[in-house]
Amino acid sequence: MSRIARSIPWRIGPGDSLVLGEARIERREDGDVTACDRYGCVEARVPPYLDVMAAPAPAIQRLLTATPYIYVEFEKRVYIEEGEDYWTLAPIEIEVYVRDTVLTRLSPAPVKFTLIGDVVDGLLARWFKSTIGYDRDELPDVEGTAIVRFIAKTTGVLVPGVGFNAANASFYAGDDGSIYYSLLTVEVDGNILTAKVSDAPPLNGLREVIYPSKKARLAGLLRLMQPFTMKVEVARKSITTQ
Amino acid sequence: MGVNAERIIGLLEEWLPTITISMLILAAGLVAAVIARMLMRRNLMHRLPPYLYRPLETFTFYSILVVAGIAAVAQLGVNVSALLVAGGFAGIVVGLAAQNTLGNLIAGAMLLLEQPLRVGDPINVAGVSGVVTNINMLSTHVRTWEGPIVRIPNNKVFNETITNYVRVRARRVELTIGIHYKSPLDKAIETLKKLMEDHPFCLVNPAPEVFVEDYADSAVVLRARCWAPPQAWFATKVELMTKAKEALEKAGIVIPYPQRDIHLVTLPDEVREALTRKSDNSQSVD
Repeated sequence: MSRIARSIPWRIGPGDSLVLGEARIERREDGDVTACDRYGCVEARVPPYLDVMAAPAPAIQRLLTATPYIYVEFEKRVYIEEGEDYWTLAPIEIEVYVRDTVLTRLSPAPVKFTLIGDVVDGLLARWFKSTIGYDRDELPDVEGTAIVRFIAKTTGVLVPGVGFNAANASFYAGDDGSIYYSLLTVEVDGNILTAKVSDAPPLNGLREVIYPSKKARLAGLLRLMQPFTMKVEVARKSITTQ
Repeated sequence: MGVNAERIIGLLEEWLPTITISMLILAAGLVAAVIARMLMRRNLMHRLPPYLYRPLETFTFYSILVVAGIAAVAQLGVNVSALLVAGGFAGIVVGLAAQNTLGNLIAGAMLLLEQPLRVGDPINVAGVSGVVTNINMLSTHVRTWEGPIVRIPNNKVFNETITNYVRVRARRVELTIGIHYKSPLDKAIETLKKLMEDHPFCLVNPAPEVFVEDYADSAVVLRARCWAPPQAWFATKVELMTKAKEALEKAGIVIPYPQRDIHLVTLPDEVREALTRKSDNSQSVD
């Protein structure tokens, strides 16, 4: 990350550059900007007196706008307990813009999709594999990801991963430059897990980050409100006889 | 003559204001319908998918026109209820005369209700493959893969088998590749699997799979499959087809040409002599 990376949204003036994972934005002295990730580059001429900005955005548009859902598969399945909170990482995209005009979106991590459930009525989701921890400090520092905190509202479920409707999520930034998705709640009814995105920050003292597409979406009539749902294994209570 | 002129002038004086008001109501209705459609299009176009906003704007446009028409007719002093009853009888007569058109109209309404296809969907219907560009009250317009727009009457669309390629969450991409009998099979399978696992659109779940499909004359035929989002199906197929050859060649796997092995056998001398003798004898008999 370059010296400008701690203040979010990132301001990229002439001569500056920003590298986040595989995403790279470079600004020449004459103002021209080149933004690249592993899938391609975008170049644009921007007057040097205008700032090129970059902000984290939900990882649901780069390469294909096919789903609002992100699914994070855990490296190990986790047994959740009601009231406990869990921490994991989820992918983000970098929205590069000038004023409110979006130049491009970059993916700092490789893009993969997965299907949750059936081909006909399942959910398509952007896929990411991550560790899961009981504390924020347990998470590795992975550039180009955002921290996700979720609170379990059910006990006794073995969860292989968690998904959420990222189109509804907000972003928050910490003073140390870390990025967070808004707080999730995870509930299991029967064997159906439902993850809901709230507007609340995952921690106190974080600052909300607004990116241009979010402003446009909030003005739109349709906000995709469907929460993420999937089938999970429910731990069976053993029956003992005397 | 003078009496007739006076009568006409009298009638005009009596009816002109009413007719003018009716015409104004009609004109206002038309203007309101056009403005409503324009406003709806401007405001909804970027917020709703085309399959939602287009039927909405069509419905609004014609509803305003019908209401304006009824108001205009009522202004002329016509009993609207009686007109509607008469319209019912007229409807039967017109219906018999325009069975096909009405059939298309009803099929159009059914298509909008059932939505087996939507604007923007890649489909195959009545032997026409392409993307739906418009569904109006009488016909469905499909832009074929080659470019031309084909208009299909709604009646036909509704009664035909419709294949919709995007109304599922994923679609399977399949490649069939033959490798040389002497190439290592495991390595070929591993290479193709990795190619699909690294492709952004090949889904993690259901996982990509590669298996031997056939032991053909010239090659061991492998089938590679992965699932992709339907919007990216064609791009995924094309990319995998292109990259598969390169990846296999890099891994030292040979994709063979069709070939036939001919084994030349050297005959023992006595057999060859016997055959020559036999051949000479048959020539001398001739």
